[in-house]
Amino acid sequence: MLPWILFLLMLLLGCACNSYYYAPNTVHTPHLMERHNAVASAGGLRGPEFSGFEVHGSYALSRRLALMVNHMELRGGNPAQERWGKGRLMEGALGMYFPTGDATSNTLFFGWGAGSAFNQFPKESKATLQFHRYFGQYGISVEHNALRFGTGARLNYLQYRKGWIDYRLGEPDISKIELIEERSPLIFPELSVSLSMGSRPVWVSLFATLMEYNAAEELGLATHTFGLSLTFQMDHFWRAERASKIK
Amino acid sequence: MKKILRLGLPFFAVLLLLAACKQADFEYYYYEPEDYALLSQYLNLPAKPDNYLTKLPKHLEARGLFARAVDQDKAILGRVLFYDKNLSKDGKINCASCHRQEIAFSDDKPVSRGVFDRVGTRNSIALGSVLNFAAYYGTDLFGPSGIPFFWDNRAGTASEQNLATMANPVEMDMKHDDIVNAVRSQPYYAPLFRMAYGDETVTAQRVSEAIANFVNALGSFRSKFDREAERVIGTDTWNSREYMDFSGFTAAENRGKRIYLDNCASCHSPVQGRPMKMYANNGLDATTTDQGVGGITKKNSEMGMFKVPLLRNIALTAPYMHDGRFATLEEVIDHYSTGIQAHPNLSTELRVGNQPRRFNFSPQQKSDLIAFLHTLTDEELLADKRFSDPFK
Ligand code: HEC
Ligand code: HEC
Repeated sequence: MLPWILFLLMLLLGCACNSYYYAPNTVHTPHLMERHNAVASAGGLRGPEFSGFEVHGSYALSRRLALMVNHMELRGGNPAQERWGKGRLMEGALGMYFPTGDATSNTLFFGWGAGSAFNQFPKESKATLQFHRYFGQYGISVEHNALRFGTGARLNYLQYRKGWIDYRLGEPDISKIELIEERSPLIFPELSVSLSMGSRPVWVSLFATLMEYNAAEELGLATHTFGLSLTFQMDHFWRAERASKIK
Repeated sequence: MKKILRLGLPFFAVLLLLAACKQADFEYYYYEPEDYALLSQYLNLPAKPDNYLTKLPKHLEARGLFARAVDQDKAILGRVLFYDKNLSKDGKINCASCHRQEIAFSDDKPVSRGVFDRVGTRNSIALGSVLNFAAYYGTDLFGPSGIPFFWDNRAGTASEQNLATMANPVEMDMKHDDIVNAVRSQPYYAPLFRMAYGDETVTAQRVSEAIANFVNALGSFRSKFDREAERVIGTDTWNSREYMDFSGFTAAENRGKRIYLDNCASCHSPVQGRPMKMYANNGLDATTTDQGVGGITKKNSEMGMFKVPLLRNIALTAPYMHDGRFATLEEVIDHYSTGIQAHPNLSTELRVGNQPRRFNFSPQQKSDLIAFLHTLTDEELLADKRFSDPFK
């Protein structure tokens, strides 16, 4: 109970008491069943002390191959405060999909992305870190009447590249950043579950994403995000168009 | 399509691998280059600022002792002020004159000498006897449970303490205006004040706050005793493990530890964490002239009582007691063994009924106890560059 009250309080106060240098985006599990299937989604995302949005698109190139792109932007606090931060991640992936039965879609993607985390501290000191992330992920999405259930696991190879850090930002964050520099690249898994409701072509989806890295707190990595998105089965529209043309 | 994939994928994979092997390359910045050039003419300050974050060993954290974070930029300024002789009337005394790092920030004279060789009345307190000033000192943060400063507990906070010391005619003899002028006239303070405060305005308050941040970062917790205690006692707070022998100790040290726990820990703390009493009378004299805490509070029940110090680095900080009357640890132990005087406020731990207690330690017990006290020496503190003299 108490953590939830604290969580709610934090939302209300918009407190950015801690700075984060990484946050997981959703491991998307697009429901791809056949060639030219396309999924697009957009929605809000919330982490421990920040929030933002993410968009996702995926497309079945051929009978097996698929493409995926994701973009996420986050912000904690706001520039009027002494402490605030923002982050972003953009990534693309190439992979395959395999329908099993007529209600289940399996997807396997390998991708690459680039992102950054910016944090501001008292005395106007700043830290900007840039990273690349390589990943492989496996997802499964099951459709049942008006529900879709999805779960995806991702293995990340997170590599920090450049950073510009004002030492005046002080402790404990200097230690966190130095530890990131020392430990990078970081390898760790993430897991998402999602529940969607709706029917072709629009779904409302809830996501929860967890990451597991043993020293996440020491390094200032956010361990979870929750999302609420609208998901569109884009091919539905094309198909409708084509169907009307044929008529 | 297939062909492109067959050729393209391995190529792509190799590219990825090459890119992925790159190390993180972070750039840190602190001083502006021209500021650093100026500072370097006078001071040995590292370009990468020192980290004053303190994490206490887990057996101490388990007892609720945490080092609060100090402001790093103010601590850096505070370090320079601590070692700056311009902060004294005759330009010859700095804080370190009476708090020397090589002897755990104490003074080897019975009573300290200040400006113009003026003689004080008390023995300098070893700043290295304290676990960490920011862990339990300072009444502003801890209310009545915070330990005040000085032998007679007359200063509530570190800045109150250092302003009093700077103003004291037998120590540094500097009034607020003198301090401000002395600091303003040194060129290296402008950049340091900008880093700490955002502008170059010098006030006595700022000087004092900066020194307080430095002092609050000070402390000793890396002795042989601490290493063993962290390993053996760990997070146990039932006091059942304190008596367990430490395998890293010699037999004499372990025997001495037991004697200490039985007879001394009820005041000086079993793990040197925080004194069990804020002040006490340990029977140095039957009648006292320096009334210590009572001299400030004017309460009869507190006459002749003094701060109970922690015994960290005690082997280095001779002479001992508030007036530096004992030159060696042997003399201290002899005092507790057979010399305790019947002062009216003599602490109950040191009396039997109305009579002063006689521990009557055997020669073997005495040497065991002294062997144990030597395990409280913290070599790392003595060599810690962050607390050393930065002047060239
Ligand atoms: C002339 C010698 C002298 C100088 C210079 C001096 N001190 Fe001290 N210091 C002492 C003495 C003596 C005591 C104990 C005084 C008392 O209790 O009445 C003391 C006590 C202290 C204490 C209290 C420790 C405790 O556990 O209660 C602190 C902290 C301290 N000094 C810091 C400083 C700082 C900071 C400076 C520089 C601004 C400084 N001292 C300069 C002699 C000196
Ligand atoms: C009643 C509480 C009490 C007990 C028990 C006690 N002490 Fe003390 N001790 C004090 C006080 C108070 C002082 C400071 C007295 C002064 O300077 O006037 C002190 C001072 C000391 C000092 C000098 C510290 C310094 O920095 O100058 C040493 C060493 C010491 N004690 C060792 C011991 C040993 C060893 C024992 C056990 C045999 C012991 N004490 C038992 C209260 C106690």
